Amino acid sequence: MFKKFQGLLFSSAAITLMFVANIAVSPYCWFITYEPDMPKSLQR
Amino acid sequence: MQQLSKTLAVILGEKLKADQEQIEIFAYSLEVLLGTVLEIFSIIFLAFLMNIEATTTVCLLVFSSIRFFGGGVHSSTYLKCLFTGNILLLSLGKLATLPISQGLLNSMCLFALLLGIYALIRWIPAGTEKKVITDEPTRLKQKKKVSLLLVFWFVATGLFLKYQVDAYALAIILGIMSSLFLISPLGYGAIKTLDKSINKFLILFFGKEVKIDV
Repeated sequence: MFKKFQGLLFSSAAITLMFVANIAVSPYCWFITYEPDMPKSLQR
Repeated sequence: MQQLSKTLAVILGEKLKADQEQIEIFAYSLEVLLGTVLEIFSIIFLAFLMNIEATTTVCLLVFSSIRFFGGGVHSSTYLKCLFTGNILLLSLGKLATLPISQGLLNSMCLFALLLGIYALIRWIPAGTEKKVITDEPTRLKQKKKVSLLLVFWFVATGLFLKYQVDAYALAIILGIMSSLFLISPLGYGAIKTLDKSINKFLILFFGKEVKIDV
């Protein structure tokens, strides 16, 4: 039960991070912060 | 921040048996996300301490919304960005609480409107060294989004002016003007100069440029 919940939690975190990365590489400017170097896989 | 993001990304990658490319994307995303949360949290926290939380929050909302669609200059490191963002938004939040005549407020509103129109035609969306938007249809789309946003903020300013809530009206105008300034070539020049000045200051005090990652 706990393992299933943990798996769901990590998957949700991964989906959220992919979503944020997708916005960060789009024409949108991610608010006011410093812009880190884009990973090569996202530059393609 | 970079190191923390990498560590968290590796942990998440191991749990999900992700490949190297996915871990890199997790790290990049975490860096963006943590940096944003830290900066917003520090601005709001300091604004609370200075008792200017309402006007600073309005400035932050206006500033970040225009910046999200319109782009603008970034500092070269996290620390400089954190420092610049805090100083800028707290100063604007404080300025917005000061008493101001109706005539000056109306003039500033008109100036912000004209600057907005000029920025839309000439500069928006503003790119950076790491991300330049050259595709014309995409540029046009971003211009439309920023123009809608500006209309929304000017209507809000009008309402605040009508009901004589001058502090919020001024906070919106200052938020618009500051985000447009950082989109303009003058803003790019100012941040570049500030970057150089901070470097000189660090060299003067530490004998070398200190690369501090927050």
